[in-house]
Amino acid sequence: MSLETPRKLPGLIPVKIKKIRHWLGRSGDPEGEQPAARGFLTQEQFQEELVVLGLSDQTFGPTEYAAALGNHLNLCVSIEVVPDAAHPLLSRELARKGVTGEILYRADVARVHVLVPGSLPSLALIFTLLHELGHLAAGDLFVDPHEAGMRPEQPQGFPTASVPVKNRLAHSLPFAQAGHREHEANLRAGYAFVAGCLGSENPYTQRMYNIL
Amino acid sequence: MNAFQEQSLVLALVCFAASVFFFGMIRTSRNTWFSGVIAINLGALATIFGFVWPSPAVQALAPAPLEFVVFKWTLMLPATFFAGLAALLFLNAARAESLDTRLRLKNSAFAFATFCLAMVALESAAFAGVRAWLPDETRLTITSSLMTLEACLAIACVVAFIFGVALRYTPTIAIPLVRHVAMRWLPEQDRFDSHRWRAVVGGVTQGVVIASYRIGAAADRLGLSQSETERAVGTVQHIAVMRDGIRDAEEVTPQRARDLHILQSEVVKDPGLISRLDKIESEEITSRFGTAHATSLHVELEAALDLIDQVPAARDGNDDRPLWFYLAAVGASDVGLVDAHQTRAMLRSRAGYSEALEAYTESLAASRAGDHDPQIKRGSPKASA
Repeated sequence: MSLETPRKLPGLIPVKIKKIRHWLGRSGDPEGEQPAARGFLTQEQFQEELVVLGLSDQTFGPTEYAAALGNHLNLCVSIEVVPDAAHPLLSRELARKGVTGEILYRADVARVHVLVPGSLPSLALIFTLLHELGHLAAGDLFVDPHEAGMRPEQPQGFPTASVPVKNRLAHSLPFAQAGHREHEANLRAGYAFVAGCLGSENPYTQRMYNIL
Repeated sequence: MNAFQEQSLVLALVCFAASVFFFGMIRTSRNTWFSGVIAINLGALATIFGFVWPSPAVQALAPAPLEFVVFKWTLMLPATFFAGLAALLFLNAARAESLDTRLRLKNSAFAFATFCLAMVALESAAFAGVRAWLPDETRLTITSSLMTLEACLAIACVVAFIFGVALRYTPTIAIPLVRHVAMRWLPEQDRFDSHRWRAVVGGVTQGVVIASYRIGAAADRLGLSQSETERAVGTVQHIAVMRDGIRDAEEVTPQRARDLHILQSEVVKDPGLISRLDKIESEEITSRFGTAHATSLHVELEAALDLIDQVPAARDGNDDRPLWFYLAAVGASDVGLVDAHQTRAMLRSRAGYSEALEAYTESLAASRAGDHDPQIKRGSPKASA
């Protein structure tokens, strides 16, 4: 039989702080953040991500976004637009799989490779790159499919999977279900496309400075 | 509880609330430094609330005990620090080059207001010291001057805050439009374009390759520009994708294409926004996506829908279609993507259609003679049958 001794005040402080942080909607230990449920990314939240990357009031494209993401996550991110003339089978293979691009991650060399066929129409090509990079930003590449597959939907949002904060730019945890991850990658790509085109004229950028 | 104790309690609560807001909100936004401004601003407002709470029932010019100095300094020095920090952050925000002039002015006003607030707090701390330590004569003179200064600073602070709040900022590009583009048009356009690409590259729509080749040859004969030829080919591709999508309602159906056309219309009619699409930095990856491309997508889709729906006149009421439209009609009829008889009946009276059909037939005959056509067919294009 064990006897619990009452904890002294200094020992209680971290516990209390954690409780207060939890009450404020934050986890005290981001590495051990527990999966919960949440809604999809908003444009305001994406703007905060751009501030972190230093792209908030700049025009940018997929290459700049990839470089900034790579710097933030300490990964080497490369983009390869493969010309159809050089690799005609790649386009056909991707088309048959029903996808327009792929993102490949190698943990041993901390490298991410985004592959898209050069024959894609301009808009689809840029959007595809931003979509794939969106998966990287969300931390989707680090989701364990076995751990994530069984989470049920909850009334307050869609279930998430645990991914350490060092492996993602997103403030929130990635979604557990692939369909939700794809939808959010599309949202992120749309937000990035618009923010990249508008730069400092993006009303969401200006609104960050419009406090009252 | 007397008024003095009451004020100390209120100020202590205000400081505690400001601290909770500060640490809570800084973490919420992680590295977003500007949310610090918002948090501190809330703290500063809370401090103002503390200032305007009923004054202690002690004579303002009377000598004060040492406890009064300790009490005042404990409250006023943190208040000075936080208000000064808020002023600094507002000033930094006002200096941001990318910021709209009105917003810069607004943040400057807030910077000035919070600076005045910091000065009020500092003056209040000095005031306590004067009352505690200076002799009667000097104390009366200095406290009177300090009170005048405090009143001036308070007025300046309130005026600057009101001025800042009154400055309304309206973005040049409306937020609903940006949201519409990001969340609806771009994903849907991408879905449509990706499906079109998969259908063409994956060889799902065989007729498109043949029609594209023949349209290219006919366009040379007609002297069409490259962009006009691309529009004709693009129109045929759009029709092919919609025809292919009919088998799978989840893909691209004519109805979904009509919805996309409406989404495109809302974007294309805003020249301010569409011109900015040129700005995306993608030169190393692809040719620039911009006004011309977005407009082309819109025009091609409209032409494809008109050919599928058998609408002879343009949607703007103009009866005279461009030559590339007729060429697309002939090409699509030739490979069976649209009903050849109905298309001919609909367009036969148009001079452009006859011209396009003639060029297409001639280029087909020429390719047959030279065996260049990807699919040699004996006979005329279906449109001329």
